[in-house]
Amino acid sequence: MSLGLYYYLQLTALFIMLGWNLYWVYRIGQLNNAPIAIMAIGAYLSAYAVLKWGWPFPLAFAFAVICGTVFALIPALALGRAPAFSMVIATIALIFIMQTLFRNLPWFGGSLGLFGIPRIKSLLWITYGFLIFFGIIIYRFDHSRFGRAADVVFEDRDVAGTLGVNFYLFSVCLQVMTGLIGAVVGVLYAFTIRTVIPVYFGFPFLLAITTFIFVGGYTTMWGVVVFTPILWGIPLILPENLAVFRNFIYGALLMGTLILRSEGVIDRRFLKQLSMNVRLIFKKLLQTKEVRG
Amino acid sequence: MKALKVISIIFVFMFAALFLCFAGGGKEKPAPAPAVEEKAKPADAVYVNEWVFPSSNIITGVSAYHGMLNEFGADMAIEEINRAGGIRGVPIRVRWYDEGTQDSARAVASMSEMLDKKPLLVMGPCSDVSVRAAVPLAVEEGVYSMCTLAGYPMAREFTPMTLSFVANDRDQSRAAVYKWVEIVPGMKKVVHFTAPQSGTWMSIAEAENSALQDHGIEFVDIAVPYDTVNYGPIAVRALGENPDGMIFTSHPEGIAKIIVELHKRGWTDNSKLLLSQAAPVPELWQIGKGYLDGCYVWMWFDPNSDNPRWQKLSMRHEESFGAPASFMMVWKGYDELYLIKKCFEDLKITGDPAKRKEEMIAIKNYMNNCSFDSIFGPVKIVDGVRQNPTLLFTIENNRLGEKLVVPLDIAM
Repeated sequence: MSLGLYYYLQLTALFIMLGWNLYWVYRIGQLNNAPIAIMAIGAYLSAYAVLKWGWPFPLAFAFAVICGTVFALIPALALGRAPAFSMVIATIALIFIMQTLFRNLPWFGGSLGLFGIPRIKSLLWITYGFLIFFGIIIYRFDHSRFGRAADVVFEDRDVAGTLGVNFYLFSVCLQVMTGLIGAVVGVLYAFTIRTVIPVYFGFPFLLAITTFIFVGGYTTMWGVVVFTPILWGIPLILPENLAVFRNFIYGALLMGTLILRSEGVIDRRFLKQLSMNVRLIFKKLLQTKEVRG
Repeated sequence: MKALKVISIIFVFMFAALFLCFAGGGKEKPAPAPAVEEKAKPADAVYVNEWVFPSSNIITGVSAYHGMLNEFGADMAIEEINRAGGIRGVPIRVRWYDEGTQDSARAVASMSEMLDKKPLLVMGPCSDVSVRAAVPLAVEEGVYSMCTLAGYPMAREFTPMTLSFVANDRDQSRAAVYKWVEIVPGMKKVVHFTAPQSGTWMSIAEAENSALQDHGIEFVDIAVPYDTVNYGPIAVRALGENPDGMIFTSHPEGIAKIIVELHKRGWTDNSKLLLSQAAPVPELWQIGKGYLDGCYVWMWFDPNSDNPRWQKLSMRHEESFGAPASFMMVWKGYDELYLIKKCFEDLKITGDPAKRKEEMIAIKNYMNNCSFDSIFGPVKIVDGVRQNPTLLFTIENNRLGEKLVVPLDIAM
């Protein structure tokens, strides 16, 4: 496999998982950017454990993910009831706090960060294993009573409350779950790039993921899956002179999508239509077979 | 509502069409290689019919201006080199790859794309973040990186696989502070404005502080975040320390705004202000106009150089951007290409894929210890680090004025 393809596949998978993070909490109307901060924790702790304590990768992985998940509980408890806008601001602030913290902790290398993280064999397989695992969990969530409860909460918190949905608990649980995914992505990212410095975990991520999810569609988990490979691949697909307009293309797509399809390209209506069409095609195929038979 | 949707669709398609028309995106010409070798061709004959050098550059994001300057200088070198017959009689071209601004994922993606093209070397990456994220890939592939802006800590980390034009900045900054302290005696306490976001700048700041320590001068670090909106509080905090002098190792916009704020609050003696080498860019002159005269700036290249090549580039820069060139991004690509030219001609590089491995090693060995004619005159590279002088300028009439050449051993 070529180096370009390897990194394309690896980074795409990580971006999809981060996109799902945003999507999952947005199911209840909260836009949570904390997973990027948690990602920094996962990345730094795993790198530190491997480099300074000489821990093997699986142990460092488990340690970093547990710490990241536990840390995710702190903002989750504080922001459980926060309205969407407050949560956006608070969690962006959390990203900056985390960057500043790591920059000022000398044992994490300050602004130079940690480097020399060893290469992990089969990292691509591990990443795609986690991608499928988290995909199944989110799919199951969406099609369970929790998913239906999330739909009601998204529409109206008070109505959801009268139906017995504890919004605060729901929000905290989802934030912790996304914290876990964030920590996993952080560890995988650290071992992909093999260096960590505080500025890695900042706005470029936020901008990219927000574009992927809002262009792809924030009402289903499939929008991110379909559009992350396309949007992330823009500079690779387009010719040299056009690829540099990546940010313009992102912006135009985001603007166009918000105007034309406010829920993103792949929304629930689209999925319903698609599934009906697929069923129809299968039905027709079966009918043709029966007639021939 | 329907009309709005129709207008929006037309608007988006119009923009897309305009870009397709004017961006001139054409597929890269395939790597040229003659199918049949001529019988009489010597072993060291050039294999390719065009040298394509991949370069990682900051093309998008808030620092895209830097990338534009990089292309500006490189374009001039390409023009000159091609007019003079190219490298070993073959024309050259640079293919630009976007590393984004402080975007590690993008930097890695562009480096992996460059490496897939099996280059003999890569130009760039440019920023700290990209060097840290992407150079390990090149190192693993055995490809030499001309990440010429990599400062001391990074150049040391990736040596001997990287070339740095700035990595002796540690010694230079110490020498500059030694000289400044000598010129402005009697300082007991200095406030140091630093940029914790940048590893390279922090390492320079550390070196400057060590020089202050050598003179028994107390120092207080004040961080200047890139995204500061109001510089007043930073200036107030600095003045609250009652310092005798101040050192600025931060981004030029911040430096200029802080100096303006200091003057508004009664600061008068500019000789007690020392600016670090990255400061003299158009933002500094524009924002700080009227407040900068008398300040000291240490640099390692001379923007007032009378070398005709530099004069030509500087004049072009003034025509295009309204100010003479003073930022190293302008000549980074220019010098890199001339160094490549000299290296390829001296080593008789062929570009033959069959010899790629040995040629990559030869290039690495050559570039780490060589000398070439830079845009400012002859320079030496020792162990992958360009040997630069320390120059201490005073600012006069909102421009770099008189200069002092400071020997590095002053601080040894």
